[in-house]
This record gives sequence, structure tokens and C-alpha cells, in this order.
Amino acid sequence: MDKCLLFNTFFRDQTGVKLLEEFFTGNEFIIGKIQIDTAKEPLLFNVEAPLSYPLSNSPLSIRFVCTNVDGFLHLNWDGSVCIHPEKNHDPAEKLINEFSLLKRWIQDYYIEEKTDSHYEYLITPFADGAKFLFTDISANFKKGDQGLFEYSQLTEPIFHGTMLVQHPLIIQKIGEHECCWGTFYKTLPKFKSFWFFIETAPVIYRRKIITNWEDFEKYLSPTQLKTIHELHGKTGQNHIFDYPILIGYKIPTTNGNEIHWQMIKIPSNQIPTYGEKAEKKWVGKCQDQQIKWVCTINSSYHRFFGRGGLCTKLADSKILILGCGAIGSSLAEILTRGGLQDLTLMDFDFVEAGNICRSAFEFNQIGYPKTFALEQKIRMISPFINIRSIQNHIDKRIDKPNKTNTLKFLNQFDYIFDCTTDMELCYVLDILLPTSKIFNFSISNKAKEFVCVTGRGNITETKAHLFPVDEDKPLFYEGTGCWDPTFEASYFDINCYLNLAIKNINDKIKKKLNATTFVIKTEMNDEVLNFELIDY
Amino acid sequence: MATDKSKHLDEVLQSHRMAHVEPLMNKYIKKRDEVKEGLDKKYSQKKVSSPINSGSYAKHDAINTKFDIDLCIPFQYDAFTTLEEMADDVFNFFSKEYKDLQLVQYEIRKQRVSIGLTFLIDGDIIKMDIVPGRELSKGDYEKTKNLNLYVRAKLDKPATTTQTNIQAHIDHIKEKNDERQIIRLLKIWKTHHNSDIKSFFVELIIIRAFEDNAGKVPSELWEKLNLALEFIRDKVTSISLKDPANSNNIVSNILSDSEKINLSLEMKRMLERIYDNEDNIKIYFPVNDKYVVKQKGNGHSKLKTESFG
Repeated sequence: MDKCLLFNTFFRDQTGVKLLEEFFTGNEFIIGKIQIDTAKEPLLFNVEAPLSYPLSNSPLSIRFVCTNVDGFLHLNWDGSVCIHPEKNHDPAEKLINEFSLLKRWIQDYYIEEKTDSHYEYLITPFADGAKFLFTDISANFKKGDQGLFEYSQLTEPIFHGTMLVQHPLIIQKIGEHECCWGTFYKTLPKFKSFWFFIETAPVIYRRKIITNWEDFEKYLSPTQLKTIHELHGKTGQNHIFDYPILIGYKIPTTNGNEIHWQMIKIPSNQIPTYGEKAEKKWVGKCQDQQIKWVCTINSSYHRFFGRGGLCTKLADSKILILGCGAIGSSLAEILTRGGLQDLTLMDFDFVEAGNICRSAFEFNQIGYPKTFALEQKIRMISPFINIRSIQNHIDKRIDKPNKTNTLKFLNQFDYIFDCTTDMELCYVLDILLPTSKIFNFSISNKAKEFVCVTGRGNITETKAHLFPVDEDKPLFYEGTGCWDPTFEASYFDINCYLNLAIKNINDKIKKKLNATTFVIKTEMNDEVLNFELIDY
Repeated sequence: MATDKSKHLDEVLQSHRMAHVEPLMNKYIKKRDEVKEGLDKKYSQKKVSSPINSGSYAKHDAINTKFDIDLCIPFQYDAFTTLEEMADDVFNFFSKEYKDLQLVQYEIRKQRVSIGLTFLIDGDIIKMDIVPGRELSKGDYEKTKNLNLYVRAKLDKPATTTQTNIQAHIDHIKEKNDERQIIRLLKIWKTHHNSDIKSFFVELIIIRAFEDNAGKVPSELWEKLNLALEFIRDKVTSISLKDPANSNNIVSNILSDSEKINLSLEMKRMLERIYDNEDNIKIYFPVNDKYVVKQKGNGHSKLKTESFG
């Protein structure tokens, strides 16, 4: 059936719907106009469907753009209703589903004006150019408060000769209150500008943000207006932003109130204020001028890792990784992406070309100390991690004075992951008995088994007992002579074991179970790959 | 060759004997006696008796990889207005008055029923818990040896008080040699596997396992341990264990339901693994390498190098 005919027939047949303009095929969309009668005033919609309909032309599928009301929940800035229809390759069925979603929106959010249990940010038209990230800060502000905030660039604004549409920046400090980034990010070069606290969300209508300075005037205190006015004639200090002004207000959350911050960009030649004399006093006013809102994102820890991470106990712990080779480097990355905030790396070795294929290192890091290379990579992943790297090894002297110092170092960690496969070190840790919980990881040649041993004082013996005796001697020598054979296992071999091991440990800790020794084995039986995890 | 489980367990117990750590023990005992003297002097007018020895060393079920030498100081009924005042007074004594250069000041801790002390003696860290208790009524201690303790608040648990009797605890395990062997083995398992199940709970459940099987307890060490492990596996979730010093104190309640289920599952897994392969007993009950008489080539501390990372 012709798609235009389908749309025209469908909407003509619906009770309470008028087809105002028949559907036709445009350059990009099938377009028509409808009116829907409601218990309130009728609603007018421009209907746009992609030419690929019922398939979406990513990310867009059908759009119902309301032209006579705005500001209601789940109504986008351009008036389109935010609906998420199911995928369906049958055009008639898909249209029925989409129209039922539209009717539900009309009933719930237009007629009944329901509110959702979760807060939805204001509908804001963002200007291109930047994206500011901030974290929650523990501070109480009141209307009219203002001061200087500090921010830093995460990258240069130009990428491959093109200006980034969303140049990423982070807010460092608002007044005296620091955002909760890790130590590395706090050391980035900083720029300063003004922040204003306005208490309530600046809306023109329901969730629709104010877009004209004249309307915004009533949210600003005389001092805040004066601060903006004093920008006249000054030169902005940043090459992207003449004057970024940070605006804070309270928003409701399930736990009470939190502060949301939005950014306005004021070009130096378009300062939006002017002064009037009233009763012999200077009174600040705002001009009829469009506000340029710039995107801000609350990237607090719980949001950043909100889609999935380690259990709280593991994420909040202090972890030491001994050995940053194939296992240790990937482990560091897995833990970091899980939200770990305190990580120490220890290894004495350097990155070799042959390491790259199955570790977390990169080609341009060859020759770097492994700890340094990994630290560099890890802090690029998480802005919340505090990472320390030590290019050394554990002192194996177990006489009293030396033992005390080593023990003091080890005891500061909640968990130690020993990925060195150094049996001497394993023995030393058994003798020292640090208070930290030790996980000893190793993989057998050709990745047949992964062994995780944990315990206190018995790791060497347990490992000797559990580790498979392998008749296949390592065959791969990197031209370094017989003293340096290396085991055969690919990046995916190592990481499939490692991810399963971390899942096992994490889930146990989460359920307050004792994370014990375990072995993971893989075997191909009848052409089916079988995994077996044996807990001890 | 398959492991002779009883022989191995015997070797484990031998290697964990306190006699192996005599020099360290002597330091402990010397320090304990100094602390005793300090408490005697400070509380000469308030105590009802000299501090008494408690902890696993006093009960003779200690292992040399983890043991407690603790002291309990019994106070007269009218020595303090409240039990909290008593507990704070002893804490303040150690943190403000007690002079000992070997006492690590910043590690003096208020624990739930005790004050935790840490001494650093010639590079050895020695920990000692001091439990203050008050007799139940004027002159009662002389007759019953009962004491009331102050239990400090912890996380979501409010402060409370509890009644105890150190002598009753010591007597409860006295002359129970079979039970003591198994308790020591389970303490070895607990220590090496980072289990935080309270030792007192382990003591009581093992004693009950042997009581319930009176007349049927096998003579082989492994068989005795097997009986105990199976008893915990099958009974821990439902058993009620009373404090021998205070029948109102249900010790089994210190474990939550999920902790009891987990303990039962750990016992089940341990037994299954040992049934699978007798050698696996070494994972759960390792010998203390430091104090084992090594036979040539017996494999202890063999440093294998065929693993990779």
C-alpha cells in the first residue's frame, strides 16, 4: 500500500481526528497535518515520518510535532512528543502502536498533567560549542549568592582541523566548593568566570527554560545584574567562551533537593544588560536578547557509573595490583571501569612491542615503564580514580626491620591482586601475612585454566596444589633466549577468564559471602565451548 | 599418592602448636602481667578481684597463627554509676594515664565489649583486649563469678549490656580434648580463609556436635572433623546455642540467617571438594610451614614456575 495513502486513510478513520493537510512525500519525510480533539482544547500536530517508514532512519522514526501548546512533560524543545514505539516492519501495525502512544501522552501529560516520580531536566535549546561536566558539591547556597567558578578543558577544542560540536570541559570549583574529580583532573590548567545561584528553575512555562534575557531579569539579584553589566568593554579570557556564566538552582530528587547547574554563554560584544536610573539609583535591566544556553551534564560518580559497576564495597576499597602484565593491566582497566577510586600499581618492567597484543597498553607506549603507561591509560578512563604507580617490586627480605616496612606498605590496602605469577613473592606474602585480602591470579599455558587463590599464609601451598601440571612447555620465544619463554594465550582468552573471575569475586562480596579460592576451566566438548568454575 | 587425611590433620595441629612460638608468648605473658599490675594499682579500691586471664590462650584452644591473650577486670557493684562510665574509665586510663613506650597510642580502640591495645615489642606486634565487667550485685562476684559488660553501639546496633562469666567459659571447654582438636582445626580454617565467624560460636557448635553424638564419636581425627563439618552443614541454620555463662544470651543469634546459610554452604563445598580429591584437604587445613619438620622432597614450599601473568 502506498505510504501516503496509509497515513491518510488511517487518520481519516480515527474518531476525534481531523486530517488538516493530506500526507505527501517530501524530500526527506512523508508529511501531513492532523488535529486531535481532547477534553481541553484540540491539539494540532505536524506528522513527519521518514521515507524508510516503517523502518526508522536512525535515530528518527515518526514525529508528532505539536504546534499549539508547549512546556508539557515529555514534549521536546521543537514540540515533538517524546514517544518510544516498538520496532515493527509492518507499517499498519506500527502506526497503530505509535498513535496509541500519542493518545496516551495526550491523556497523561496534557489532559491530566501527571507528574513523573523522577525529575526531568528543563527543555533547553543548547548552542553548539561545548559541554560542561560537573559533580554534585556539598554546599548550601541561597538566592543571590555569586562568586567565581573554575573550569578546565579536557581536550583541545579542535579535532582533526574541525571545531568540536561539544568541546568537553569540567567544572573544577564553585566558590570554595570543589567538584569531586580525581587528583589528576584537579591539576589541569584552570580558567575562571562567574557563577550565580538563582534558587528556582528559570522556566517560562512548565519545563520550558527561559530563552530571553528580559524574562531572565527577575531571577537575578541587583548584584548579579551589576556583575554582568561590568563585563561591558572587557575582553573574555578564553578563546571559546567570552563569558561562561554558571547558573545554579535547586531541583527535586528522590533524596530531597540537589543543585543543578546550567551554563550561559555571553559573547563579549553582546552583553545583555543596561542600566536605568530610578530614584537616583542605578538599576540593572536585561535587554530583549536571546540567551545562549550551553550544555551541562551532572557527571557525579553515581551517575557516571550508574549503568553498571563494581559493588560498593569493592569500588570503595583501596586496591594494590602487583604485576602489570597481561593479567594485571587488563584487571586495572576492568576495575577502573567498574568505578574503583583508589588504585596502586606496582611493576618494575617496561612495555615491549610484544606486550601490546594482549594487554591494556598502546603502541605509542613502548619503552614506558608499565606502571606509568597504565596509569596514563587508567586516568583517561575514569575522572574519579586516584591512582599511584610504583616502578619497583616488593622487597623480599623477610627479616624484621625490612619486614615491618613492607608490611606497613601492604597493610594500607583492602585488597591485593597478585598478578606477578612470581612464586617467591607469593611465598613472601604468605610469610608477611598482611591484613589485606590477597587474590593471586594466574593462567596456565594455552589458557586452559585460570586459578585464583586467596587465603592467609597458605597461598603458595594451595597454588602448588591447584595449578595444573602442564606437559606443554611454552613455545613462544621472542628471540630472547631460553630464559624467557612466554605463555600462549590471547587477549580474549585472558579477558574472558578475568571478567568471569571479577564477576565471581564482585558478586560474592556484594552478597557478603567469603570470596574463596576458585579455578575456571575451559574445554571444547563436542564442538561446544564449556566453562567450569570450581569454588573451593 | 592420596593424602592420609588424619595424618595430615595431625601434622596441621602439631605445626600450629603454641609451643612453637614460645619466645613470642613470653613477650605476651610479660606484657600481660605488666598490664595486670597497672590495672591492679589503678583500680585497687574499685576492683572485686585481680584481672583474670581470658581469650583462647586461657582456654587452651589457641593456634600459633592467631591467638588472643586477653584480660578481664571485675569491678565492684558500686565502683561506677553506669556500665558505660566503667567502660569509658578503663579506656581513658589507657589513653591518658597508662605509661608504656611500647604501647601504640593511636591504636588504643574502643571495641564492642573491650578496649583494644597494641604493643610494638622488638618489631613484633602484640594485641591485647581488656574487658571491664561489673558484678551483678554487692558481693555477688565472690559467689557466682558473674559480670555485667557494657556493649558499645556499632553501626545500626544500639548500645546494650550483657551478662557473662569468664570462668564458666573456661570450664565449658575444660577437659574436652576431642572438641578442642576440632575447634583448633576450624580456627585454622577460619584464619586462612578470612572467615569472620566468631570463635565463641565455633566453640559452642563443636561442643554441641560432640554432645549430640555422645557415644558415637569416632576415634580417627578426620572422622571426628568430618562429623563436626557435617553437623555444622546440617544444623547451623536451625540450631540454638546458649551462652554457658548466661542462658538468656543466645549466641547463635550473632549470625544472621544469611550468614548461617553461607556457613552451611561453605561446609558443604569443603566436604564435596575433599570427597572429590583427598588432597584438597590441604587447601582448607594447611600445615604451618614455619613449624613443620620437613621430610626431604615432601613438597612443602615448592616454588613452581609454570604459571604466567
